[in-house]
Amino acid sequence: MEIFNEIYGTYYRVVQEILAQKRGLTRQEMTEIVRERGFDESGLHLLPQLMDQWHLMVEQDAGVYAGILKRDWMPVQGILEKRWLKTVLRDPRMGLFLTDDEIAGFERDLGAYDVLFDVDTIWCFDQFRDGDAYLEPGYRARFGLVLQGLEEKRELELEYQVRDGERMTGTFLPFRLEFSQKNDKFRLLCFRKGDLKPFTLNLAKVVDVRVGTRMDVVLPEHKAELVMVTCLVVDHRNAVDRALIHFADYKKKAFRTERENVFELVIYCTRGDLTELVIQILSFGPMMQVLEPASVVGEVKRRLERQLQL
Amino acid sequence: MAKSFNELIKNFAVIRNYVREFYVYGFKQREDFTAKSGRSYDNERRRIESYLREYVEVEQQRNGKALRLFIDPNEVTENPMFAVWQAKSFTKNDIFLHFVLMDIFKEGEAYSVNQVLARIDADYLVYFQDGFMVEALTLRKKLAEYVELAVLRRETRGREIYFSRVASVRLSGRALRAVQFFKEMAPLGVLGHYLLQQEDAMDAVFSYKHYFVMHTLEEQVCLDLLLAMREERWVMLTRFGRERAMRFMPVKVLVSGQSGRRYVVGKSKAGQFFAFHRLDQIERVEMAEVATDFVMEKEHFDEVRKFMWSAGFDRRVVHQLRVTLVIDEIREAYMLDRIRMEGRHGTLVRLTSKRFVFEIATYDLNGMKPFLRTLVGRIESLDSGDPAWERQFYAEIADMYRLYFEEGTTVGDI
Repeated sequence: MEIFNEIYGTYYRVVQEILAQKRGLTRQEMTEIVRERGFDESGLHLLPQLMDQWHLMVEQDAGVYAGILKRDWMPVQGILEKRWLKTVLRDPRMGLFLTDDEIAGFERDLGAYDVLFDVDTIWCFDQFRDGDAYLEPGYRARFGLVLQGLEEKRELELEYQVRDGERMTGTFLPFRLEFSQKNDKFRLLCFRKGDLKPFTLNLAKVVDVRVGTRMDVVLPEHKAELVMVTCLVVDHRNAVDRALIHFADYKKKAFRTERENVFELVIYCTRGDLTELVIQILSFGPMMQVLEPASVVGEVKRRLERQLQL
Repeated sequence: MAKSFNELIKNFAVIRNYVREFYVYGFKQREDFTAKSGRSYDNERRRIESYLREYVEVEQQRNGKALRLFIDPNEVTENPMFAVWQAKSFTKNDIFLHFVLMDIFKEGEAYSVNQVLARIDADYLVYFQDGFMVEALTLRKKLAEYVELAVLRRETRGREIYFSRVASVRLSGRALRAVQFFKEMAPLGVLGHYLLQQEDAMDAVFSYKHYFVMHTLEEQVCLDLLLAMREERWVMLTRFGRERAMRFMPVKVLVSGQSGRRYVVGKSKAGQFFAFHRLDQIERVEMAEVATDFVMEKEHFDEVRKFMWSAGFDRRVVHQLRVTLVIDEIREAYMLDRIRMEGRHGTLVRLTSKRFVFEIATYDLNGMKPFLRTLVGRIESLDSGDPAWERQFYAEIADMYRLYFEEGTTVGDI
């Protein structure tokens, strides 16, 4: 079964959007839709064919084109898409979005379809062990409220467990829910209401949520400062390939150097994630060497010195 | 503009590699793409620039220009590489029939081929006087294709064959939200993207950390392997750069959340031990015969994997590894948490308030090295029962000292 299918392609989407307008469109208006939804060069290729060759639009008045379809569009869902939907219905995280009854309802709707794979066919072998408890009713309820806050752009009154026994309460403006497969965790990216200071809160440590009033501020970017960490990697036992894939979850740039088997890698890392990055760089052993910044080099040296003393 | 250039493509396989090279490496130049002609490079590059314009960076590097896809996975709320999946070429008959058929087949109505032909002429082609018409054979082929996709169904009534629309699943607001999440975080997420893009646009509420966006390029390989396992079949694997396909019985797909790699594990011959292949190194997968011993092999792997550390075995013997670590349980409790979290099936045993032992039974001493190196600064002793391996581990640590403490030494010198 081929995933690659033109019926889900960008050109079909653009044409669907144009046909859905249900009124005459000028060439200029169509060009706008292509520009907004098409690929960068689609304007050159798509519009001339739509107007002259595809028999989907007729010229109504001079310079105004209308589509020939008669009915409202109904989403086209093929067997692979439905089987995928049925497969993800069985993911433990689905209960964060739908009630058990809703999940059972979709299971019935999709009764004629087989899943694409069982949950245990795919094994994430290095996932961290303290993942969020997706099936726990309290977690599900809190997740639902946080999601509501995000969707409706409402303030959230949160009670948060900082350390054992210590709690923090406050009003936060939700920005995004961040998921990490490696950590198997959701984190809430948000701002404290009073001073718009950015916070990243583990959802599992949110002990209570109340959804408050609509937010009346435009949120700033929830961006941490990026530090450029420059490293050298030697291409021994495929280490360059491994390193470039390994660090592909960061924004990064790679360069050749004067030496044929040595490559430079610049990783853009938020300050808060530098320790995690140092750990990952250490895991490459002598295949990888940090050059800059001095603080990161110093951290690697400190650990090596300490090892030397043992 | 060369007349033959088409922004769309027939085959995903060729572009898959170019996108990957531009994203993962980003320093390769025209001359590095030797597998195909320079003309092919120019065309693929132009297409990728068109699909992913806002992520393209072209940089002068020494003796030429290199194209890089510069994506910050922490910043995106949707995988930009889905765009590559949406570039399949088609004919004018394909697009005309798609829209007209989906317009004709409203839910609950059924038509024969002749009825559809008559409606096309009467309701749609009536607007055009240029002689364009749809042949019955073309229509039949398209209907058969949509039956195969389960967008339409075929039924026989008396002597006539009728076609009708298969109902779409109506997705509630929260179901759409779930699809928005799973299209990024579940395997084969591009299928969820196909579903969602036909619905009203939604605000982004999710973002992703430790997100490997290039995996979407391997989804066809992944799908074929998963279907083979569902159907308990052998497959023929073709790997890049190898001419001959290899017979293989897949039993599980392995995903690394840390290293960004995905593998299939299975056997190429009955009686052999398990082998691994990286999905990004597989060009294509073809279904073969049903495997009679699939369940047994799967159960065997479930036993074996209890002692696996990473996707591989460097030997078939299970080693007992004991690593004595210097950690202050009060001031450095975070270290203990980290080892428990990342230590997989290993256990951490307290000796004193400042010394702990990480113990693990594993096939894969070499595969454990990357993890053990993250503990540099803490390792008091190693006991693996394999002195040669221990010597090598310490020799590599010694190489690291040279890198950081010997003036002028760099990774190329070691």
